[in-house]
Amino acid sequence: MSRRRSLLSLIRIRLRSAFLRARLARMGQATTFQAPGPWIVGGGRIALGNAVFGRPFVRLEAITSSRSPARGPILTVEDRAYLGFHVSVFATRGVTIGRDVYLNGHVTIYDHYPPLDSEDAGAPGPADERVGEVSLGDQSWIGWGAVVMPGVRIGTHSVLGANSVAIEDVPDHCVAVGNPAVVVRRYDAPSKRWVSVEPDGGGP
Amino acid sequence: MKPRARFGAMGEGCAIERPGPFLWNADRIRLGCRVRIGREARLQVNLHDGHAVHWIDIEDDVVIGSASQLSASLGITIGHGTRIGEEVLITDNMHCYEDVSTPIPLQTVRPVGPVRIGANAYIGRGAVILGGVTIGDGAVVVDRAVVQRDVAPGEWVAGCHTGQITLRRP
Repeated sequence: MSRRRSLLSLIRIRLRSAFLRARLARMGQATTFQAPGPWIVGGGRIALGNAVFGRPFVRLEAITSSRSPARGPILTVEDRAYLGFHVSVFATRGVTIGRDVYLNGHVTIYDHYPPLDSEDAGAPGPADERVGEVSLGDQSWIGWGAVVMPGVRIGTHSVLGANSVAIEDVPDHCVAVGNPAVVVRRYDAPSKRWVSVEPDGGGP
Repeated sequence: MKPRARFGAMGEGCAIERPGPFLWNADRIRLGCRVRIGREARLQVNLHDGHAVHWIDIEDDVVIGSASQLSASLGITIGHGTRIGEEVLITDNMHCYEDVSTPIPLQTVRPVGPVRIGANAYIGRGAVILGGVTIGDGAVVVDRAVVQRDVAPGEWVAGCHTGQITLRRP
């Protein structure tokens, strides 16, 4: 009984994987998503690397608009990235999730403020600032429920704390927490130690 | 397999919504009576070497909202009548990141300290409770707060990290 069930589940996993691969621009080897999900919008502009692992309820949306590049993927997930429960990624200009990135549950990444094409006075900022490429550096680790805002770049091997909101770039080898996120720890290469960063006490 | 068979103990009148819950080592999870667990919840007990006791202990009349996650490496205790909102993370461990030559996902998970939540507390939507924290009876953690320190009985805390404030003192 259990053997038959395991065979059926294996067939089901393979079929789901095949259907997913057919919908995406690229899907590497050994990339798996647990059911239910992932929910895909615009799969023709989503590229997944090898051995990406996704928990249930992942949402990946590539929304082609006038601000999108003419061709090529606008949502790229590189090798061995981990997408936790309920991770949502919304891309229109370009979102790159690097190698070995670990996204905890409920992380939201988007590279634009809606609406995209209408001249809506209610949207924040000038029109060209409402869209910006987002990139998550290799080996970075994003905490539970954190949000990465349009135009933000997270550095290599950096940590973004739980429920943080990154509104400006986080350099390499840093720990940033808070809403808005500020760097609180960084790796000091000469001494090979992590040191606390004092808040500069003023505005930006 | 039915949830009752998977949990270590489960009282009368529990209601568990589907899909979910996603369980790891459910034989170390104990539920009291009339516990309600929302859909897509995740309860996991991580088994590490060298730590003898790990459990998730949920007492009577606790409500856990949908899409919440409880991750125990040492122990999580939730007192009776406590309400936990949706998308809440309660964890007693942290991921190591200090070794810059190794990708963070390949580094180990470090247990911090057991989490104890008192009776009749309220944890708002999207809040995060980190390791070693004790939350007193009747305390309120406001939505999307991140709690890294002990909360006194009847205290209200809000905000995350450096922006954390106490809304009401006991």
